Amino acid sequence: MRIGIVCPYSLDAPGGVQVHVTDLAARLIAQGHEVSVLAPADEDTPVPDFVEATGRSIAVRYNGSVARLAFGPVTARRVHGWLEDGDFDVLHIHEPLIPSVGLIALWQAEVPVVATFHTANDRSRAMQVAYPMLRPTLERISARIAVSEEARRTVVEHMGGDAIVIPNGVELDLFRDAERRPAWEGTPERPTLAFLGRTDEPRKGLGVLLAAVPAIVAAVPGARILIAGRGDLAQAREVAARHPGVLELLGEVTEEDKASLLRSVDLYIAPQTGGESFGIVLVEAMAAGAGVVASNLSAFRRVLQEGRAGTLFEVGDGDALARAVIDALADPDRVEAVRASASVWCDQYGWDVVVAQILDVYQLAAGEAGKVVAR
Amino acid sequence: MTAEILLAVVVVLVLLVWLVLAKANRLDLLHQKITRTAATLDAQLLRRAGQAAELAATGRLDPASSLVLAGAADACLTTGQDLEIPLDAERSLPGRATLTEEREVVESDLSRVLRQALEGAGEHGPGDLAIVADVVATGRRVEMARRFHNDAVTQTVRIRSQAMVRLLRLAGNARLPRTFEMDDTPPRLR
Repeated sequence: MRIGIVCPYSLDAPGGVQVHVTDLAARLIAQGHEVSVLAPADEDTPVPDFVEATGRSIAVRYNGSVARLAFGPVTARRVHGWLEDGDFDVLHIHEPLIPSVGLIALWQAEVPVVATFHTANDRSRAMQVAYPMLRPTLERISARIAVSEEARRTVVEHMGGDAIVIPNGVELDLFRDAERRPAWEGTPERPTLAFLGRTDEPRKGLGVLLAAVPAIVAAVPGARILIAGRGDLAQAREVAARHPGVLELLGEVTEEDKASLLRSVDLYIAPQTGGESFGIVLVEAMAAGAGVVASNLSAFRRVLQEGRAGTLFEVGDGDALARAVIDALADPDRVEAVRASASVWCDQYGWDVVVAQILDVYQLAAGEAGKVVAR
Repeated sequence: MTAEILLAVVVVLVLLVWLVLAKANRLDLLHQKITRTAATLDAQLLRRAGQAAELAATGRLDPASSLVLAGAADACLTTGQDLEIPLDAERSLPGRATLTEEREVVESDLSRVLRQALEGAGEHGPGDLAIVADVVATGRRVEMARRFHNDAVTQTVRIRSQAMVRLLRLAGNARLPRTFEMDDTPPRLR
């Protein structure tokens, strides 16, 4: 297929949507499809050669945050040229409600359009004012994808209609084949637990884990807890001083270290208290083969198959977390069984499955909308 | 002899008092002037934002530009407008009650968004719309109004920095006025 993908955010700045778009394009190309990605990016920003940069993006406050977006007549002309040259069978627009190249491409599109909604957010005032004007443009979307249940709910509530949920792909192999580090591997006497995430962001839940430390140490005196992530560590140091030899503060780690860490430890602890729409890191931990102990947020319950692919505990409850960890460490056979099933379960979040699902959507959209496209 | 000295002292004192009163009067007039230039600039800014919102609603721009422009105009129309400004605010806050730092930011954003949304439209763009001409013209008036306002502020600040004015507190309780700094470069249509 000839596929055009549009990313609204500038590739000058890192971000989840940008990563998803370039990964998706690379995988579609690997399967033999012709793919071109249109995205704002400055001339001197290095981009993969399948990317067409529109340039001319400006930092705009929109919906409570600042993003680099491209719009205006110059951008519109470049989008038009890209659509003409590309002669696509299907156009895949990410975040079509973001006022950038995606919305412009949708406005100009004469081919079937698939749209992916990434974020769950409230309608801005600007959106409320402009929505009636945008409706005809948005009606050109043939198929909607949401990357999570939360994103889907936003689509349903704000735009009406429905969306298919296809999560973002995870690089499972990166975690399956990661190198084990002896320093991080646990032994029956000294099992290792890992925490990942910003240490001073309350919603990441380090405080919940720290509250569980005394009970864990009392039951499993040899336990080692590895804490990786940037941010202030004052609270963790305090607990570390009270329980010498238990906490190991690794600071910020690279993607590679993160994979090795998840591959080496016995348990990965996810004490997040909110703000998670999916839980990619849980999938990564499952692929790496770490047992997962996670708070029972609705997103985590889904990813862990209601507890069959990992252990769930009450959100924000340090005692419940301690009990879950102690039970898991006391029963390695059960953990092993859960781990084996998790390793299979997480396949559905891998890129191979995700790309196949997205291609299905492309084909359906191209097949049914190819005949009539409302202008 | 003593009478002559006394007379001289009285004359000098009267002269001094007159000087001080003249300075205070001049300062008062300048503060009044700032109040007027601030009101003019405020009106032109609001007018520009209103016209920008109107332009966003025409549907003649691309949808992304419309959406960003609607958001930027809305920010300008609402920022600082929900404040309860006391009637005598202008006496103690010459030019500062409405022209806040927050507004410098949103008004600069609107200027940048207008340039991005309108520049390079070419022959068949929205350049021929009356509302585009209006918003550009108002933008030029904003440029001028801002210059007049900042000139008045600069004059006042200069006088208020004089030792006598500070020593005798001739400015009363009025806070030091500040210039309004923003990106007001209008879009180049051709």
